[in-house]
Amino acid sequence: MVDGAAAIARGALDAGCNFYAGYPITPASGILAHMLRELPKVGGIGFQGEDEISSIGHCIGAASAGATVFTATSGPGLSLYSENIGLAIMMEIPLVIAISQRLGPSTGAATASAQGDIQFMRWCTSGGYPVIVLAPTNIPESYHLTKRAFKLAKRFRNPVFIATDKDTVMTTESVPVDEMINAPDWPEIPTEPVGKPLDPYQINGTIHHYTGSSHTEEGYITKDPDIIAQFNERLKNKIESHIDEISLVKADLQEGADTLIISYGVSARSMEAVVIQLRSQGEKVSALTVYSLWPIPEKKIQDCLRGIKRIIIPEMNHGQYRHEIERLVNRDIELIGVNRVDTILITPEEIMETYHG
Amino acid sequence: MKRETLIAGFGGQGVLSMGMTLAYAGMIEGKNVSWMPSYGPEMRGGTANCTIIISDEKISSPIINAYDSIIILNQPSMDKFESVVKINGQILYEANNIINPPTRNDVDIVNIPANKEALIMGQKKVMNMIVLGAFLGLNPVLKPESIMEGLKKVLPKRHHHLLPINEKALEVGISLAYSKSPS
Repeated sequence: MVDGAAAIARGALDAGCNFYAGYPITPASGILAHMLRELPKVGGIGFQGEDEISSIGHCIGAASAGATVFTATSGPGLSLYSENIGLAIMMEIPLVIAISQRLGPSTGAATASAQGDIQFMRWCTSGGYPVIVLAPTNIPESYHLTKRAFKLAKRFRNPVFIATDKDTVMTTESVPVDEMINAPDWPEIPTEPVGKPLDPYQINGTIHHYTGSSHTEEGYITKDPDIIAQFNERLKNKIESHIDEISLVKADLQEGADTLIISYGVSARSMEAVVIQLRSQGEKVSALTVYSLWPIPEKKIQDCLRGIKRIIIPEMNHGQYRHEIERLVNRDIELIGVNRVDTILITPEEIMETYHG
Repeated sequence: MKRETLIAGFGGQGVLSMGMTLAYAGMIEGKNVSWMPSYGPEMRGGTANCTIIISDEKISSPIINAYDSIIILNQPSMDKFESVVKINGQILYEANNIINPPTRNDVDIVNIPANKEALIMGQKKVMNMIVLGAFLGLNPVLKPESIMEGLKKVLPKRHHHLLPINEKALEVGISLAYSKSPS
């Protein structure tokens, strides 16, 4: 039996992570505990900072010196991370951050699941530059998506989030060994870095300057509008021109279905149960699990809309992803949210009730 | 076979470890299992519960609508969860902790004086294992030996000298269940 925290930590270690810094917070502490215990065994450094600001600072420092870094926190910790995430974007630091979501705002219900930080992860820092967000729904996916997050972080030299939640991290399940060992049938992420290489690892031979200020390709501060424009466009485009490569979904479509259920994270587990139940009753229904929440896999979502008249979107917030999907679909399609922000997980029964209207 | 169980009580009563033990025992017998904990922000004395699914089939969702059995160790949990048991399901509760017994007449209701028995045994902490024994007695879905194997994984090694008294408690619970079995 294994829990999501161990699966994420194992994924990080198997991806070559050799530096972790973090500060304890429910429900992400399991990841910290696992990393602190396991990293020394592989010659890495596991470190508990004096707070979140220091922890992410250590991660950025270690990554800029060539380490493969990882950190994990929850929503309140992300508030404290947010300034330095901007620094990581600007310095083009490969950085993987797991966010184990709990119910906010503020301390909120610290021991309850939520999916309220979906927009927060995307827009957590100034400037609005893109980040990548991946969301596992179960334990094997927690492991494999974490490994994938490291590949994406290195390729795009950008912060990559793993959007998980209390119940995906803390639920302990039996998992068939082959589901953990065998990689899912997902397209490979190329290893070569995207865009003009500003090589954070090139510390031999040349001195490299890092700065959060707008800078030239050599890392020197500049006020030249052309250089700044070019640099900032590149930060945006390096992610947005590779949406097809980053996009990852599981489309379980049924011929003749006019209802599509779209979900992610822990809520997708209830979706899966409902789909099995509905089909066993002879209903036709399609389901889409979104693994790459940001950038939004627009094409992959639109590919699922043939014949669809109604989309049901269960998520544990007030409709943060539903509003994104609203932009993508024809107005003839009815969008219905199943939303909860009361510590209770969305049950298969609630989705079923919405399905039957 | 698919068995969906909820265990609920105060933090400190061993609610979560009972559930974890049950889940491990299921895994040891080759079942698919899921253990989902839920508790308040308090270190001790808050409410705690966990959902355990033991199934021959793959478990699609650890989140479920209604339970086959609930095991209740305090009054607030009884008030909260009495209604979520399936019709013809089962409510097993610790007698000393419940002032207002459940009133449903469409489920089996069994109470076990586990606190009292634990005090007689001289180790009140084994109350949870007595209740777990009663659950096994009523629902022979897993072998007691598997429960003990599971407990070895859940109990930290420094407490392994307590395994024999836990095994005794499990047996006490099983025999209490036999004497209480609903007809």
